[in-house]
Amino acid sequence: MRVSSVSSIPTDSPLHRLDVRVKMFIAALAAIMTVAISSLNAQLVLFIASFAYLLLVRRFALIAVSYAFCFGMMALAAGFGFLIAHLIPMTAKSMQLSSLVIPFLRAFTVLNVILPLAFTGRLQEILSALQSMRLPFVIYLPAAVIVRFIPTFAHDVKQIWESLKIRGYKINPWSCTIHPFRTMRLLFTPLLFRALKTSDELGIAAELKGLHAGSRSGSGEKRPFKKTDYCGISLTVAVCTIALFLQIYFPAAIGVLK
Amino acid sequence: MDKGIQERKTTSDLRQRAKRFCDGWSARDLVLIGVFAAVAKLSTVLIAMVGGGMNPISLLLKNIVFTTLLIVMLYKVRQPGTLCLFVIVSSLVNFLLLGSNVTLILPMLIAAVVSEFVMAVVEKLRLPGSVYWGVACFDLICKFSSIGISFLMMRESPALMAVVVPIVLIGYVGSLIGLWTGSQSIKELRHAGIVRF
Repeated sequence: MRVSSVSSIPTDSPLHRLDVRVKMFIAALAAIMTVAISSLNAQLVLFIASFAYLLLVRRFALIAVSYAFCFGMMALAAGFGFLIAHLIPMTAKSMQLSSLVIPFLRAFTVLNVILPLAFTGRLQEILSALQSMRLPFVIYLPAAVIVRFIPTFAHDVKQIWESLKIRGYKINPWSCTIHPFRTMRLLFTPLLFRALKTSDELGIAAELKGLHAGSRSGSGEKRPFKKTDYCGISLTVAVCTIALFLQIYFPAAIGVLK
Repeated sequence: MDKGIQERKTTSDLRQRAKRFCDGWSARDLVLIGVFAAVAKLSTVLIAMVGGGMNPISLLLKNIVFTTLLIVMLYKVRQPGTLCLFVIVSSLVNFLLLGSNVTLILPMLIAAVVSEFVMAVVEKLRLPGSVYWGVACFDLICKFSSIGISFLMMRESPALMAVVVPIVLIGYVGSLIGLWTGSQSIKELRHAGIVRF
């Protein structure tokens, strides 16, 4: 059962072949561009390009769930916005369709570029990427610990969950709302002590291995970019240039949103 | 010629200083920072899932847990720059693994640098609770800068901020409660001999 569910996740998508550093570059550039740009035409270009990039992940169910969640949040925000516009007529202008579209497009563009990072990043790849970035050891070691600690932490949480079940506690959204401090005490205290214990054990192991702040982070092997990586970078730069061009020369809205 | 030698000397001097600064952390400290960054991130995700997303109680709890963990970590690793290192490392890994928003990284870094400065000043003045001052300052700047970033994202429709501001304020109340729970946790951990300072 587990094997079939794992094998149903596509791992041969074009984004899996793209270097993590390129995906980071795309996410960073898109976030900066979408905040800097305020023209609807340019935002539309960024959104369409980033959506095409997201579709390359080929995990359509997950994309649909993420979009549904995001739409829900935006509907809530718009609902509150309309309520305020109704109470304070001065703010009504900011609730017009043309004004609402740009913030929502911005949020979706950011979502489109960060989801591929989360969906396609395997732990081993991320560790290799951290090594190839030649970070100082004081940054590399804690980052590697975080990446390596996640499975241990998931196991710890499972154990705590089971121990709470055995003791007759039910942890769900209702119990969390009714008894917040009890929930916190039940979840937080064992987690804190497990974290302290794990950090002590791992710290001693690291010291016994002779690691210290001056150690080298990784093998220092260079990981050259492939053709697909250069293609990804060029396409991103091209899309950003088009968006900038539209921002400067065609800042006005087009079509029905004018 | 002299200028070139002087420049090289300055560069090597800066490198030496940076190396000496980094040497302050032992491998054990670095591992602890990594473990706490992972626990802080994953436990907040876990609480958000248990609380069912936008539940205000889970928003409060998330911030209480984060602030408490931050205080415990800063008491365990008493080295200047620890908060900055924590922010750099957790932002980097969150960005890579969970795809967190890049626009929030810079304000968080600024908040960490300012908080380090506040902690150093409080320690220099020999006032008690430098860690609490630092964490309170970090939370305050982070929350205000997240409102600022939200405003930048929604500048065409400022009325939408009506949703963001209460969420951030609830989070900040959680952070303030976290300062108290943090001090209680430190008392217990000191009593148990886990925290020495």
